[in-house]
Amino acid sequence: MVDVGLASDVAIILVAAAVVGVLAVRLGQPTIIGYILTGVVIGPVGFGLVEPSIITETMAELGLAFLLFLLGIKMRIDDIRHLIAPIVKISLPQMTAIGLVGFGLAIALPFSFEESIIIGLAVMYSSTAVVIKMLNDKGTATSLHGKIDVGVLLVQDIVVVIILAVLAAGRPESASDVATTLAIVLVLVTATTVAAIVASRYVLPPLFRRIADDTTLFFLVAISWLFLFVLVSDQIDVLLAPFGIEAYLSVEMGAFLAGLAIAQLPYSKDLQGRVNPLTDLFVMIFFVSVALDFEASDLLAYWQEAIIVAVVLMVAKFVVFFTLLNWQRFDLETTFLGSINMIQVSEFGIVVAVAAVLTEPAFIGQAELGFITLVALITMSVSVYFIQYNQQLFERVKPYLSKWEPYDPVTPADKEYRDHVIVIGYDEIARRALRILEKNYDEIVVVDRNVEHVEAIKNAGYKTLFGDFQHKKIRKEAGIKYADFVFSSSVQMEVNETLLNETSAETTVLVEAATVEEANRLYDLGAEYVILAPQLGVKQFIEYLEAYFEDRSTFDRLIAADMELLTSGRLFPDISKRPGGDDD
Amino acid sequence: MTEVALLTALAVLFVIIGPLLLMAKAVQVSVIPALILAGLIVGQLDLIDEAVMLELARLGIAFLVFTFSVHFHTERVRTVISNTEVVAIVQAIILGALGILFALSVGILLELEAFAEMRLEDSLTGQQALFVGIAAALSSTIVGTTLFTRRQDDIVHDYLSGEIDSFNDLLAVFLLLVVGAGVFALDPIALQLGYGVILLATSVIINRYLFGIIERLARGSDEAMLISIVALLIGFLAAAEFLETSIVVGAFAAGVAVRDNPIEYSEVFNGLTSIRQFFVALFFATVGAMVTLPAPTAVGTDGFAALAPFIPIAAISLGLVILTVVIKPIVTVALLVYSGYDRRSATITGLDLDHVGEFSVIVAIEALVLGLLIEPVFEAIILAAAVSMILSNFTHVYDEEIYRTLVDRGWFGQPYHNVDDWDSVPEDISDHVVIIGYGRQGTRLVEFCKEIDQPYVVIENNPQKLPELREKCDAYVYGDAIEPETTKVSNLEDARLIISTAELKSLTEYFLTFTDTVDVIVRTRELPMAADLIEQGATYVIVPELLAADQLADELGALLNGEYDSDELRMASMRAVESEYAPSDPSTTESLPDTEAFDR
Repeated sequence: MVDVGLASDVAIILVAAAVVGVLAVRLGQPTIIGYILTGVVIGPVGFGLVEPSIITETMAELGLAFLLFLLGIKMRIDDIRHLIAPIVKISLPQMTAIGLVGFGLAIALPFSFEESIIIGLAVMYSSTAVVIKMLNDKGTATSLHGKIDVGVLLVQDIVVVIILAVLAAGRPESASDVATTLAIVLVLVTATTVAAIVASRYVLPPLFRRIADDTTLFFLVAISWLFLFVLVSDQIDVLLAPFGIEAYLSVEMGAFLAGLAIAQLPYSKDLQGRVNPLTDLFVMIFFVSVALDFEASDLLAYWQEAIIVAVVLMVAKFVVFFTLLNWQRFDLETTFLGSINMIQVSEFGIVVAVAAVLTEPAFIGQAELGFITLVALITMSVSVYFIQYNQQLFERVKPYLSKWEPYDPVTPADKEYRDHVIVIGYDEIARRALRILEKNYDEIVVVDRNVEHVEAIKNAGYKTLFGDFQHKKIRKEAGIKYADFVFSSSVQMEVNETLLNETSAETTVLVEAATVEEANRLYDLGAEYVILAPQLGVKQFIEYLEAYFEDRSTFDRLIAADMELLTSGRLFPDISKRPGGDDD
Repeated sequence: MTEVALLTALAVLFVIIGPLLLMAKAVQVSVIPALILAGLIVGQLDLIDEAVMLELARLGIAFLVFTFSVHFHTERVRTVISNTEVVAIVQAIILGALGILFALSVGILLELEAFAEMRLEDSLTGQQALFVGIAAALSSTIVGTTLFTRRQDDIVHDYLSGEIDSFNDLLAVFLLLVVGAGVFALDPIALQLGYGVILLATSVIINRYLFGIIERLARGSDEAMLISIVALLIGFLAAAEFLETSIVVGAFAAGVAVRDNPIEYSEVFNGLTSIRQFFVALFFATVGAMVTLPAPTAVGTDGFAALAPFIPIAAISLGLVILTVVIKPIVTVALLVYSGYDRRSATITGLDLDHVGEFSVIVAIEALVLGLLIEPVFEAIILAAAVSMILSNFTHVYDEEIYRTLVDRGWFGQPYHNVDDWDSVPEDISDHVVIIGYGRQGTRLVEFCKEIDQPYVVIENNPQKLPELREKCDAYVYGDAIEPETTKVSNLEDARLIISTAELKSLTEYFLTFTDTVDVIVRTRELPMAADLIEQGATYVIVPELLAADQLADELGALLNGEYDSDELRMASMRAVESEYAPSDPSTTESLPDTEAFDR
């Protein structure tokens, strides 16, 4: 007999987080705050209802992995290639500066030399989880400042990995120890990156092309791909041990690279839509579990110091980032937004601190660990509000900042569609429509979820978006709110209803329906015209039949054009001789 | 770093799942058996802490049942017991009985001295046998509709499989309530049913009154809505556990509590889909991992001693596989033919349902967790599930060929008719139009023929259409179009024109053999196929979207060029919609003309 109950701690976390999360939404607060608060309330610091278990810890770790995977999927290498130099130039000085600030503060307050070093090392990073989740929620992950922030966070990630590796190896014997570890990690990261890029160019495209039509299979294989990188990163020390190399790679880095490999494929948008909800779930558990590891006494040991340090650090981080971004000549808005997003202390800081506690002999004690955690919690929570209202803040502060406006700034490109045509589903009717529409419109986007169709669309010269229109992401990407004309050749009521729901009143919408009842409903919802394809088909066929029984030669003539298309044997035969259709 | 043992285990599992799923796709095996196999492989590596994995995996069951429940109560509730339900019940009873008998005999055999070495630790009682019976009887869709290949519900045998499967699902949920009782005495069952009713009543109340409050609180945030629904589900699961009834009941009740508003919260339900797929994949893989096969090395060294404990498991497995893959189709076919379906549709349906259903796996696991089922029998059921599902994939892919072979070998005898007036065709009819399928298209074609006084014969195989055939058609044949007797009776060879509205490959190819003497118009959904068909002699090929595009052509041009006043056009077309196109039910034999451009 297997004695198993349903994971009760996960259950409590989920229910509590849901309640607090809904409250947070109701009060207009970001959900992260709600989750952190939940952790504080139900964890040992508060009511002590839940203690971290293997399942919660694993789900939390998965949360970060999925988050970075999702992020990787959004990044196109081309988009970030030109940003690599500025990113490195920003992140390294930034870490040094903040590290020094942290160290200085700690020494000034009564911490020992060694403790201060660790504190300095712990506070240098900004929170991957907070920044990326907020960027995601606000939809700005691929904006210029978003990309810069993500880039900086990734460089920080590499640094964390190195530091953790060094700490895991015990007290470093000498500088050469540190250098060796550094070298190994850099080599590994490069190797994994190269592997990811090679895969994305040669292995993944044919693979995904074959399975993209099957949504479940596609999703599961993508997850499998993610876990491959996770496994390798996680077990790299086991894998390299036979060669006598002590190695270390972070799971998050691996996950990001896995996502990056997929980002280059046209199916990435669709995948994003599927991975997102799962990520939300795991990330929620992550934020809740941050506070689960602590006893109140440890957490609050240095609470006054923590508040002082938190405030100073947030200001310092903003100033440092602002200076560096400005130095790299990004425009004022990008500089401001990019800087204010990064003012918090990262959860990785906690991780570094934990590692410092676990080394033999320990660098710091539980109380210091509690101190660092408290700083992280405070800064994370406060920064969430700053990020939430960063745009509004910028508008307020802009006049005062004008003196820092760079002379010839690097500005973001605007990539959204406006006043365009969206066609959903590529079939015969859509094709005929497109040939007429392209005479009147410059920008046409065709959305389809079939791999063969997507290729045909590209060959026909239209912009294409691979994905399911039922997903919000796809609708957003297609620019549904700004379209002038939408043509749906899908007979799925959900698609058409959503479409009519989300388009503005000025947009002309043509849809298809299968039955009269559906057509009436769509008209009620505001469709300009509803194509009843089945009925039309029958009508046309009866016309042919009439000819058949009347005069055979008329029949042959009528069907001649059709027969030409049919005998071509191609999915989308050449209809160049048929502007709108039949030449009768 | 924190301990990552579970993470590693999960990673290993999913890394193996990937390639296996790809291989499965290449050989046309569906996802679930591939997942179980992946689990089996990983299980052999002995990496996974089963208890922990199982906790996670049962979330998969919960999500699965939850989703099923949400769709179930929002889409349709069948109140009519038709032919198909009766067939499903009888079939389940027969197979269940056979399963139980089989398991009992294995149990008895094991008690004999001759098989002492293979004896199991706990004996195979009637209770265990019951679960074998359940495994033999159920072949459900609960995962099938989401993870199996896409069905076309307008073809008789697809429709039949769908119906029988859905009924199996209901049966399974009912059985789970009973299983949840833990002891098969009357009182606990009544108690369990009572708890079930309480949970369901609560969920109905939530659906009516409280769900609206949740919606308002979440105020349009998809994330909040998603988390709330997950929390609701967890809440019900916790309640179910507290009442010591199965979590499946809790999950089902939770589904009833949720109002499915596909448009408002489409993102939320999309989200649930992904979450569900993840945990379901985990579930089946974990279940597979729980099966321990004898290690090859052990067999090498110890030989029979190592194999011995595994033999009963293998035996039960084999028996189950035979029951489901061979006997179940036979029983199904017999019952369906007796109810009036033609033998071809019946056979294909039978070959669709010839596996141990996914839901049986869930029942088995719940029974194991509740201590009702012993491990060996559990493992046997899982193995049987995987094997039978793989075999079922193949029978599904080659269903027509298998039917052909059976008919050619004469194993079917003559077609059986349960009515006398199955054919009503004038003796000397000739130069007529033969219309295959009496659905939306077929009906219109018959009307047309009547209008121009053209003699016609309708061929239709769906028993539910028989009353209409009798009433509205001058000449019809109720039966399978490919049967020689149908050809004879409808005088196919002397016809002037055959119009087939069915998209079945086998039918199309059959009619094209008559092109020497008869004009044949067939139908296909895919343009590239049309070329082949024309080469085989078709006079014309109906490709619905092409026809619709043709008909629409002129209007479309004017419309898109803004030549019509849009309000005027809308009024005009709405009127046209009312008058010209008489509302009709989707047919079951012929395929619906459909310009759907992408999959669900």
